[in-house]
This record gives sequence, C-alpha cells and structure tokens, in this order.
Amino acid sequence: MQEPSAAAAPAPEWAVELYEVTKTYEGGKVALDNVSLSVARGELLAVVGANGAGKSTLLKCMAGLLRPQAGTILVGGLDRYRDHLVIRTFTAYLPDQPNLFLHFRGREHLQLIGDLYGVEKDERDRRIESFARLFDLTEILDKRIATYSNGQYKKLALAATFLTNARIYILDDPETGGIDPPASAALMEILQALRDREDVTVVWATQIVHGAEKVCNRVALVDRGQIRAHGTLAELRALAGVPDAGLDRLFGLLTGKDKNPLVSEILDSMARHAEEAPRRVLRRGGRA
Amino acid sequence: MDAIFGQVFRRQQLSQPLWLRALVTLGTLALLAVMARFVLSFGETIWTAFQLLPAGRQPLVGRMAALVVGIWSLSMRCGMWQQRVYLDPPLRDLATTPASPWRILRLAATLRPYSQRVVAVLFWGLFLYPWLYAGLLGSTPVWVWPWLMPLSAFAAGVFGVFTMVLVDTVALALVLAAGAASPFTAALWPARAQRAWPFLRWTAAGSLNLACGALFLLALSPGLMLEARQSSLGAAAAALVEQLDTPGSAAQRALSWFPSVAWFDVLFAAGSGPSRWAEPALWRCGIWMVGSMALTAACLGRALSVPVRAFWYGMAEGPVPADAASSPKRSFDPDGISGPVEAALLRRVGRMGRAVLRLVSANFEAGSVDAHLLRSLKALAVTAAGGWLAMLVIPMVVSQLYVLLYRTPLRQDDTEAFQTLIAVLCTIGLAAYLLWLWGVFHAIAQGQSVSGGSTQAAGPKRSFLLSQPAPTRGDNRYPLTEIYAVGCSDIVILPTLYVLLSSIAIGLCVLAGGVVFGLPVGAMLWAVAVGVPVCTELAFVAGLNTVLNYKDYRRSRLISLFQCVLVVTCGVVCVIGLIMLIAFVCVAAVERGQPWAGWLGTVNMVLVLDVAVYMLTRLVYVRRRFDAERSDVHGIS
Repeated sequence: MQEPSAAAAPAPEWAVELYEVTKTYEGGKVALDNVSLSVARGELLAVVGANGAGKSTLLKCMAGLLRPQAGTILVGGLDRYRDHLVIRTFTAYLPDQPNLFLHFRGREHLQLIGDLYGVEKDERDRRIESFARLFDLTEILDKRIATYSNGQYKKLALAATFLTNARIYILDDPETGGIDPPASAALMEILQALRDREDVTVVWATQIVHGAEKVCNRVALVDRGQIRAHGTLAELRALAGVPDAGLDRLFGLLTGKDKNPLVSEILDSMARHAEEAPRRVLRRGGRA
Repeated sequence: MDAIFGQVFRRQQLSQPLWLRALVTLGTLALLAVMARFVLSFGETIWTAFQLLPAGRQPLVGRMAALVVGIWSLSMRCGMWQQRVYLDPPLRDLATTPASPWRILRLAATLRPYSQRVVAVLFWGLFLYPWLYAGLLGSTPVWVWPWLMPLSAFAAGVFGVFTMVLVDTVALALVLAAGAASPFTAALWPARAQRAWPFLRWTAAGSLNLACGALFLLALSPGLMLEARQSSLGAAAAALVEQLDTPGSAAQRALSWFPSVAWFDVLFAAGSGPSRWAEPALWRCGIWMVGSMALTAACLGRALSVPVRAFWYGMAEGPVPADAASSPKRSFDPDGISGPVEAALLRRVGRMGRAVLRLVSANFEAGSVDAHLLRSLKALAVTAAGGWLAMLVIPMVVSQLYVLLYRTPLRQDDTEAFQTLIAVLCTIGLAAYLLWLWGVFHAIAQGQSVSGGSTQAAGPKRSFLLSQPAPTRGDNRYPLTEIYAVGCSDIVILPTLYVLLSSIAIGLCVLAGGVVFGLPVGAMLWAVAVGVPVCTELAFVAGLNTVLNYKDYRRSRLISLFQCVLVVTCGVVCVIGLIMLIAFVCVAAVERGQPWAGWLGTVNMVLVLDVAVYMLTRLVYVRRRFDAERSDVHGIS
C-alpha cells in the first residue's frame, strides 16, 4: 500500500471546517445538532462547554474517529473521510482518555509516535529528551507505561502529541487527567507558542476557562450539541452585553446557565440529611 | 503470573527487595516446572489411551478430537485477534495517526517475552512429546536411540510452534476478512440484529463445540447407551459418525480439510499412523497457511484502513459518551426492582442487595434476577445441546474407562448402578459447562477498584463469549467492598441464591431439551438434581473467595504467602475428604437401591460444611475490615 505523502500541508484559509454536522448515537442521543464551525489557519480555538455538551464528539468528528450522520467536515480543504490518508499526516489528536500500550516503555511509545509521523531519528530523540525534561518524565522514560501513575500517563500522551510536529492539533481536555501544576504550566506555554505560529492550528476542548481566556484566539461555546456562540472574547462580551465578563460568566450568559439554582438546593438537602444517612447505612449494611 | 502473586503481595506499587524478587522468580519457575510435569503426564496419558484404541478407530477419534480442539482454539484466537487489531484501545487511538496497516499489524502481533503464547508453545510441545517419542522409537534404527530424547524434544518444539502459527495465521486471516467486509455488512444490519450477534455467535459456537465433542466421544465408543442412541438425535449423530468413518465420503473429505484435522493427520503419520497420510496432509496444511497469508495480504489494506478501524470506534464496543447510552433500551434498571423474585431476595437476604446486584448485573450485562432468569430460557438451544452431550457422551467415556481398567465390557445387569454413575458424571459435565458461564463473576468482582468507574485505559476486554470489563488503571488496593458497607451476606448469600435460581432455570431447560430429543428422562432428572446444587456450590465458593481476598494489612509478605499456602492445603484436604465421604454415601445408597437417599445425604453434608465455612469466612472478613478501619484511623497506610 502506498504511504501517503507527508508534504501535503494545509494551504487554504480555513484549517478545519464543519458544515451542518449532525451526529446521533445509537439510542437517539443527538450529540451534535447541525453544527457549523470554521477554524482559521494559525488560530487557537477553545471549545468550551459543560459535561456532555458534545465537545468530545465534535473533536472526534474532526479527528475522523466518528462519522456524522449529516454534514461535511473539511480539514485543510480536504474531505475528512475521503482524504483521510493525507489528513492523518498533518493532524495530531489527543483524546480525553488516551490509551497507550502498557507493555511499552515510555521512550518506546514516543519513538513509535515519532516514527509514525516521519520525524527524523536524531530530531526525534532530541525532542523526546526535551519533552521528557519539560514534563518531568526523564526518570521514568525507560520504565513500562503500566507502572505510570495517571498523571505521568497523561503527560506521556501529551509529549507524544506535541512530538509529532503536526500542523493541526486537536486536543480534548489535555489539562485534566491528573497532570501536576508544572506540567499544566508547561502545557499553557506550549499552547501559547503554538498560538503564535501562523502555520499551526489548535482546536482545544477545555473546561479550564481561565487558561483558555489567556491563550486562545477564539472561543466556541458548546451546549447540548450546538454552538451557542463563537468568536473572540471581545465579540462574545459584546454579544452578551457585559464588557468585562470572564469566560465562565460569558458561558453562563450565552447558554442560559448563568445562575444554577440547583446548587443551593443540593446543599440544603445535604445539610438536612447529614445526620440521617449514616444511621440508615449502618442499619442496612453496617454489620456483616 | 502477576495476577497470582499480586493477590499475595499486595503492595505492588512499592519497590520490592531483591530477595523477594528472587523468591518470586523461584516460585514462578517452580510453578512452571510443576505445570510442565503435569502437561507431560497428561500427554502421556492421552497418547497411551489413544494407542489402546482399536487401530481402525484411531483415525476417526483423533480427527474428531482435533476438530473439537481446533474449533475451540480457532474461535479463541479469532476473538484474540479481533481484540488486538480492532478493539484494543491503544490501537483504536492509532486510527488518527499515519500508521500504515502493516505497522498496525506489527504492533498487534508483538510477541512479548513472557506472553501466554510462549508458554502455550512450550506446553503444546510437552503434550506432543510422548507421541513423537513413541513414533520415533518405532521408526528409527537402534543407533539413533541415544539421541531420541533431544530429537523428540526438538520435533515436539517444532510441531508446537507450527501448531500455534497455523492457528494464528488462519484466525488472523478470518478476522481481517471479516473486518474488510464489516462496514458493508454492518450497515445492512438493523440495530437489534447487531446487538443480538454476539449472543448468536456465542450460542452457535458453543453448540458447535458441544456437538463436535459429542461426535468425538461417539466415535470413541460407539456401542453404548443404546437407549440414548435410539433417540432421534442419537441416531442422527451415529449416522454422521458413520459417514465420517467411510473412506472417500464427502463428510470425511470435508473433515480432513479442516486446519486442525489436517494437522492431526500430519502428527498421526509422524507417529504410529500410515506414512502415506503425511504428504497429502502437509499439502492441506500448506494450502491453509499460504491461503491465509494471501487472504491477509489481500485484506490488510482494507481491513486496517482508517475508516474500518474508526468504524469500531462507533460500535457498541467503542467508547461512547455516557449520556449517549440508550438507557431506555437497557434490559434492567439498576435502581429499580424488576420483578417479584428480585424483590423477595432483596427483602429477605441482601441489606445492601441493591448495590451488590448492580455490581453483578454490570458484569453479566444481564440485569436483574428476573430478567436474567428469562434470558436463560433463550439459551435453550445451547443447554439442550449440553444436556444431550452429557447424556450421550459421558456414558461412553465411563464405559470405555471401565473396559480399559477391567478389560471386560460392562454387564447389562449393572445398568442401574451405571446410570447412577452416569448421572453423577453428567452433572459434573453440566456443572463445568455452567461454571464456564458463571466463572467471570468471581474474577470481575475481585477486580473492581475505586477509580474503576471510568475506563482510564482499556475498554471492554473480550473473551470470545463474554465481555469482561477490563481492569482499570486505578489503585487496585481498594475493591468496592472496602468502600461500601457491604455485608458478608450481601457478597456471598445473595449471588449464591441468584445462581441457584438461574441454575434451576437452565436445568429445567436441559430437562426439556433432553425430553424433546428423546433422551432418557430418569437420567436427565438426575443430571439436573445433581448439577444444580453443584453450580450453586461453586458460586458459593466463588463468593467466599471474593470475601477472603479482602485487603490484608499484614506487614509481612511471607506470612501472607504461608497463610495462603496453608489455607489452600487445608482446603484441598477438606475437599478430598468431602469427596470421599460423598462417594461412600452415594455408593452405599445405590447398593441399597435408594439413590435419592445418597443425594439427600450429600446435600446435607455439604450444607453443614458450607455453614461452617461461611461463619469462618465472615469472621475473617469482619476482623480484616476492623483491622483496616483501625489502621486507617491511626494513619497507617
């Protein structure tokens, strides 16, 4: 089978385009409802949404892992599903829960990913050492991944993603999964550096709105499978009519979830039953 | 091996001292040596028994055995390759990378040094060694005899490797061919058919295995259980076996082309079989190898392409958002009570029964007690085949063993005692079959961990027949029993009653199936009467084992090791003693013409022992839980 050429870089204005994409899971759950979105080349787009809003599904469709029932997805001007062989050479996807070969050593996994993306051996090894220092993985790089903690596991997956030198990064919650503060800060620095590059596009699904405020060019607010609003922070503030609101407040205002009355309800309920619940548990199952 | 020693040495995350690692290595090697000796002895027994068969029966019996083993082995390997190539989460994630299909295949086929495949090749070689040794002994000149052992060992190793390679090559080709076709065929299936496919596949494969096993034993000893052979199913099986034994018949030609059967022909010719079989059999094996490789090469690009691999992302086995799960179509409501049986169990037995049932139901994918009982009826085909197998096959085994031991055929006058013995053996077979279905309960219950709610790394881990939740990457020191206030009765009694009710349902299915097929009703009743308590007892023991493997806060790992050895030794002694007592009671009851008295006596003895063991286990459970809580209070970790 002919290997795809690695030289096909995205040239058009838009790096990622979604037109009226609808994705429905078996059982009727509509994860994406007629979503249209464009990500410009060189842009860092933050996709912000609540749990279950459809962020991961959106990114998986961009990555080609899920096929929507309707709509078109273009990556670098190429059809996502027809030209997948070429697209894979310049896109890198980090899932929210990455899966690595547990029997590999960390270094072997990074070498594998580097080889898959055609990074030259010397450059690959140099990058491995750099990312290992950056994410504090040097001491465990030659140990089996099965022995890693959750945070180390996620950091290794991060290192593998950025090792690829891709043109389009699709990152799903990279900052979660137990990575420590130094690694989180390093991640923010990497994202800032990528944002400043005109030939690199990043689509970043996140729940850390404060970090997204500082780093991203544009924001897309996702709620219940739909893009409620997207644009720069200034545009979103103008849309919401609140000039100095943070992203978290903007999300609430533009998705209709500004005030969450359930929180006080839950707290009241917890306070009322704080004493009763343990007694009930002991009565039912506390004795063997 | 990690799983075995992990249960003893609980603090795996700490670095182990050198002496402990040496001890573990020594223990592992010793265990391997014991298992190797066992396999060698097993091989000697099997091949000796095979050579004792009449010369005219050996080919058919061997071929049928090879067919049974081959079907089982191929199905297991197909499941393994499907898991490795498509379902393994790390490979699924590689769908977004420029990994070529050939690279994917290389990654999937990575042979780890201490993998089960290496051990399997070793054991296959040991199993084949006695046959090849005897074959070389009879066919080589005297001057070669001093070199017979290494030559036989080498030949056995080669045969073992080639056996694994043949099975893996064929299985991989089948999986890739199915993968290449999957997007097209799956698109045509309605959703319900797709969900039913694993069950249908399981039922069909299980029935096929059982039927072939029955034919194998029918070929082994055709002249017994006249009453069973007069049934419609028995007559059909006998006719088929006759066709398989007729040289040049279509059935025999088809049989000889099956991969494992062709391989048996090579092995047979290498031993005491006719040497003229070797060349055609080698040609057939070669055609299978070359054809499988060609099919693999032809399908590789398509089967491992991104659309096909990404397709598996969207399948039920792939990761799906939690809120996308079709909750209305789940077969049970974890927070509800599905029927009167479940309501009664929760009311009378399980104080934390709802939590335990949720744990059980999540593992079995079956849901509530009532729903699962109803589902048991859907396995009628398999259970009927299992009953047929038990009734048709076990008597032949017993009779052949009798002939081997006593060199005289069984007298017709011994029919009553023989039927009783048959019933006991039938139930053992039925119990083993049901144990296979229920065996996952214990392992999964033990493998649950605190952080195991979400799948950190691995998706569902598939055996061929049942989907098992994969072990998660969380800290495995904290099973769910440590977090919830789950009582001993919840863990042991409730699932035992659950299994009892299900076993009764399945047993009634077996009885109905046997009656339909014309098998003797009396023996079928015995099979159910003994099989159901056996299955229930096995579930009870599994529950006790789950409780006993509770977190042990002992500081000394050596004490834990010796404690385990002591418990296992005492357990084995008790079991042997109990078996002897049961045998004595049953034989005495049968001699007096009161077999049901023997049954009642056995049940009573086992119940008394169960009560004693349960009380002891409960004491250990409470003590350990108290020790655990006390340790936590004092900040001991």
